[in-house]
Amino acid sequence: MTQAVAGHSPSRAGWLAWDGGARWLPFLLPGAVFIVLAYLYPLIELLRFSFYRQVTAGVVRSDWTIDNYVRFFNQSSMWEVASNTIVMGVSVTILCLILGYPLALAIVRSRGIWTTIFLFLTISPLLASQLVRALGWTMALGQSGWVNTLLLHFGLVDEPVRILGTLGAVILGLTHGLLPFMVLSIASSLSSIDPQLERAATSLGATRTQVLWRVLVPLSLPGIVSGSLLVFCIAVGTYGTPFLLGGPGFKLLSLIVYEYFTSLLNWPFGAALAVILMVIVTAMLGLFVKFVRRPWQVR
Amino acid sequence: MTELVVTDVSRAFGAVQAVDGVSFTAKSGELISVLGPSGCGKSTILNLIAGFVRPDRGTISIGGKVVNEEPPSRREIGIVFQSYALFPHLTAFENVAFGLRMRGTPNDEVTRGVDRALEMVRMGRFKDRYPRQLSGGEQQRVALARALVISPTILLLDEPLAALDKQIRQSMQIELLEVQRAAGVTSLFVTHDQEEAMALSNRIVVMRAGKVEQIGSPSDIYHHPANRFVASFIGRSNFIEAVVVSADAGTIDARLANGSVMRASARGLAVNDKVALVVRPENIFVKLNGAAEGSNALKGTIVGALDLGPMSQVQVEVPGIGRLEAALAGAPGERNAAAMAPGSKVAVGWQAESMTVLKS
Repeated sequence: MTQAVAGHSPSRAGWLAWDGGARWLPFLLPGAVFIVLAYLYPLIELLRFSFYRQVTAGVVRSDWTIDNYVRFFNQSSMWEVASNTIVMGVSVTILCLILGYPLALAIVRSRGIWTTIFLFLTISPLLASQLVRALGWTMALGQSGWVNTLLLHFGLVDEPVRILGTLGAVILGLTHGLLPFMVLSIASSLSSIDPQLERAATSLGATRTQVLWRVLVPLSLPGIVSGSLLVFCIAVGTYGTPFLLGGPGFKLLSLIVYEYFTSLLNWPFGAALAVILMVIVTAMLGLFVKFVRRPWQVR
Repeated sequence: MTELVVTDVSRAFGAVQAVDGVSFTAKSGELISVLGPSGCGKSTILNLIAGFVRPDRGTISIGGKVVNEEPPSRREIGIVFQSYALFPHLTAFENVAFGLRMRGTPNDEVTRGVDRALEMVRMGRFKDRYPRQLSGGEQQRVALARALVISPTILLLDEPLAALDKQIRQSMQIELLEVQRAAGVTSLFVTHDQEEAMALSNRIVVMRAGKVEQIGSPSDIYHHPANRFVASFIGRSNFIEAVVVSADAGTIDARLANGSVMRASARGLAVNDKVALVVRPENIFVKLNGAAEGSNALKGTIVGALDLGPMSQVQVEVPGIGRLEAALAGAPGERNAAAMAPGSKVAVGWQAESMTVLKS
């Protein structure tokens, strides 16, 4: 916005925003080296590979071609995979948001032992590995799993329905695993809201719903956004859960990247797909960051 | 115009009796303070009236209507919080507009109401600023406008000036009083600052440990404290222990520990009652090496003197009685500031009328 109140003068260190910041540089070094080696270098390799030409399975030539990308955009089945991926990511994010917000509120609002109980409930999915969680769901969602048993018992369906191997099963499994990330980031945001604000709103005539939408949600937006980002990025990038719950015919970008790298041994096209997945995630990230600009936080 | 009546209200939190049988009335348009040390239950009183806390017993009525069962959102009470509690994501204008929007007031009326309220607290030109862009005093003004724009039945002020600098606090006190009078709204002011309560209130409710100790006008409470707690909590006091030796209608003679006898006006006391004579420091005079005037004169020695600018604070040791504190006002020459050195022999005394007798 326009007016800076507390006139923070730019520090002498320049890009480090505090005086004498340069003294902390040595501590930054290990992390920086790690990022360069473990992230930046492979990323450049991936980019390089995506412009190579596939000769035959497992053999590539450094031709510098954009064929791999052209192939993606020309193949309608690839578009379907990409849109499947986005639909899945967005659905998981929205589900986590709807289920997670009340839980986060409960954690922040509860007192004593209840905080611990809600917190434990929240992070319990993280106590089991992704593999165990997914296998658990395959049992629950199968033809004779408890979900179908319940549906039959209450007469909602006449015969067992196929849940396993559908997009729904994947969304369910991922929502379960990613809910903690959403809840924890919203809770941390909610807990920084002055409780007096709620009282102020109530005394001014706001109902519970109005307090929620006019005060709590706008002020916890940072947590909502960071939680959504985390959930979306992990959801579209993850491999294990969709592989186990989606079944053999199920296609997502993360799954076919793996397929092209391992069984089809077409690294250049796999690399191109990975880059496209990355672009989607980055675009989503940019959208969110733009969306969450908060004019009231003046620097 | 609304009267606030609190009748025999109690509330406990676990084993702690936060408020214990409190009753008082704030008359229409009156500014009444609830004053007491922290933990005396004054904040609970505010929360009870606002509806954030329910009473275990007793009734709270606003404008003749018992509101015990009304939720806070329907009590039409304006509250100014100590932390201001402005919505950080809304501009000053939208903060003030909040209450009107909750009531579904049409837009043009909102604009008019908010503009008027912001003008009243002289914040009109800051209406597009966010709370972070405002100083503490400015935020407090917006908070006041926000509380008043809904035309509240009662205005509750929860230590609204405590977070401000001393300089701003004094000018805000005057402004607050002006705005409150102009709005003519019955107001309840919760504070632990006795000077602030004295300066602002029509009447003060002094509380300790959940109970009311005294209710009265600032001058009543200052000049006629009901008990030792009130006398020591509000302003400074000298307590001189004595025993009643004769009691007539309205007059007693009390013998001090050093044997001298003083006459004072007091009722309801009998011979041999133990009492404390309460004298404010500014009512004590100190005379150098001369016979003391006034009915109650004692001989003593100065043990300490501080020149505090507008007045000098002098400590006098009186044999058999202890230390008395005197506050001497007037020009430095009149105070004899130079002569008031430790070791000086002096006579101290006070007018009988300026003394309060408390049964101990």
